[in-house]
Amino acid sequence: MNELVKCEALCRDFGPVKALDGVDLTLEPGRIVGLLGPNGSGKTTLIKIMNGLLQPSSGEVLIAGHRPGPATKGIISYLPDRGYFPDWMKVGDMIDLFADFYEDFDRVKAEDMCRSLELADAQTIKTLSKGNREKMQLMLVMSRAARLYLLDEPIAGVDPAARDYIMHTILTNYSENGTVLISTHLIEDVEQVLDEAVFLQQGRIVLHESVDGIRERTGKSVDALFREMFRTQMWNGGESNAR
Amino acid sequence: MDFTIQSSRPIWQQLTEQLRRRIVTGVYPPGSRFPAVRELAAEAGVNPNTMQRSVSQLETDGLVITNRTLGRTVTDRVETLEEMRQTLALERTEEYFSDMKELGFDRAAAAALAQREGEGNHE
Amino acid sequence: MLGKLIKYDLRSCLRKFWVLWLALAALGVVNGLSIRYVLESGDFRGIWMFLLGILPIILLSVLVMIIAIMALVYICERFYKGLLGDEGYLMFTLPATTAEHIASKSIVALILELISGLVAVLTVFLVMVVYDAPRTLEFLGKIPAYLREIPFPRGTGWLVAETVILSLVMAVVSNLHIYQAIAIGHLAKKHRGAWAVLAYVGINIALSILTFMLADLGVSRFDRMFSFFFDDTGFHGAVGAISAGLGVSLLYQLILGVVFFFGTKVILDRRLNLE
Repeated sequence: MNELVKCEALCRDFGPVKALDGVDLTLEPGRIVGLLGPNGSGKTTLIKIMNGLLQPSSGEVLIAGHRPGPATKGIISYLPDRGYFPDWMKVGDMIDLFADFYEDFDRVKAEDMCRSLELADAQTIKTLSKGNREKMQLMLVMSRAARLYLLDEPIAGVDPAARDYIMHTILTNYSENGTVLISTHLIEDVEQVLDEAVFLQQGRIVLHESVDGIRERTGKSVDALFREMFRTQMWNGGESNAR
Repeated sequence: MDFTIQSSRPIWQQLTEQLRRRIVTGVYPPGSRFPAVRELAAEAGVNPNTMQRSVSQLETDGLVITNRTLGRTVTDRVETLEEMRQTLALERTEEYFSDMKELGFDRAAAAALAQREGEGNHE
Repeated sequence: MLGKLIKYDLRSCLRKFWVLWLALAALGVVNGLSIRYVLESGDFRGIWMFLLGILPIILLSVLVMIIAIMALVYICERFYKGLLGDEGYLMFTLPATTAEHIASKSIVALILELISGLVAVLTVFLVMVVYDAPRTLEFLGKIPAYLREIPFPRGTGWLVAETVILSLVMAVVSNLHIYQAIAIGHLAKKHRGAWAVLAYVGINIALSILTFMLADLGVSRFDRMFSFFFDDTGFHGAVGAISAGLGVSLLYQLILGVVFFFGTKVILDRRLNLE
């Protein structure tokens, strides 16, 4: 039982909409996994359930054998797809906060990264550019030696140079034996970094395979395979299942 | 030389090829310390597990030796390096032949062309 | 974890209010001066001096009102935005329980109210001291002796303590009432703020009905209770009766507080849906 994440028959409804429709997923430690799917496929919902921000309608998820709670939150480092810092806080304040609440936070690493981004401790978040704000959030999240990193769309809405920086930061900072789950619809940019790819379509997992396996089996890149599998969905506005 | 990764072939295979080349061409000199997997992965922008697979292949090739105390070193056995050099050269040759075949040259004609061009002053 | 949460909530609170408290105290001093030199002198060289005398009083009253309103707004906002807005993404992924979050917000809200109240009292004191320091100190010095003269019935100290405790509990419960309303509002998909206000009013109405019904029950029992105590030792019996009344109120508030606390906690545990 070495699984870090285990989702069983996970369902989540929002009124009539089935955001997750029976998700079974197992993630092992020490992997970089891509959670890939078009917008609205349920990626953010799945991630929120994993880190306890949302309760499933049915089914369950276990993180290192526990239901989501304070214990699992201590070993999960989460980067949401939005800014979550109070505007008035300073860079130094955020570092203090993370250091205070998370045992696995590496303060020195965070301060180093700040310096390399030329962010001063005393700068307020409000005064940072959008790009710097996102980099700072990423930097804080990756400065933790977590067992599971949940990154929700870390490179969306970011210029190509910043994307490289972000992917490089992720690659060089995640903890030994930690698992990184990157959710994105920009597959080309992350493919090289992934161990495994999980395709999520309309709340269901339609593929979960190693990246090398996909390339060997299909002779295509993950991005190409994705486009092929989801092409019909694009044209039909998401109504049919391209398999 | 930087790592170049194409999208449709397994990454680890491409990395293996490029690492073999680096070793044979002396980018990692014989007997020198071979970089850590994480270092290489960061340089190439790929997953460490993928890079690990390539490096394991190099160990199987005999190009890289893992010593418990010294870590990984590039082999200094001349024969091994020569063998790999030959292997890589042959691979390139086969590629040349199949390329030329596409252009309409059979093996003999392709070989003759190469010979001719090789003897001329094309440096 | 709770201690850490309180630390951060308190810091953010003090950051916002220390200027206001300082201003209030300063205005107290100004008022003291103005009463002493302007109003008492009776020397109103025209309407302007009169206004100069009145202005500090006006400013003081306005500032008191502002602080009171800002405190209320702050308490609401810290919960509505700080826990259930974008900041919630940070808060609810910290390794702390929902109960700890609610507790931290409540405690800091209470501290805010207490400090504001204390500063207000201090300001009154400042006005008096600045106006006439020796007389004020003399007057204060006389208070313990004066109090000793009054024949307080046995148990008055107890009553005072009960009243203080009841006030504190009521303050906490009123904040929890706000949180419960905000949590109920969170259940809605849209216009969560409006629903929260409705929930607040709704709870108020429900409680009024409840107390009315309970009072109705209680009145018939009250004179029995009253006579039980009165028969005992006259005036001292009255103290007992009041104490019992306070006790009942305290019990009622505690129950209410527990209901609001767990009501909020359950909603946030099961139905959290940040967007």
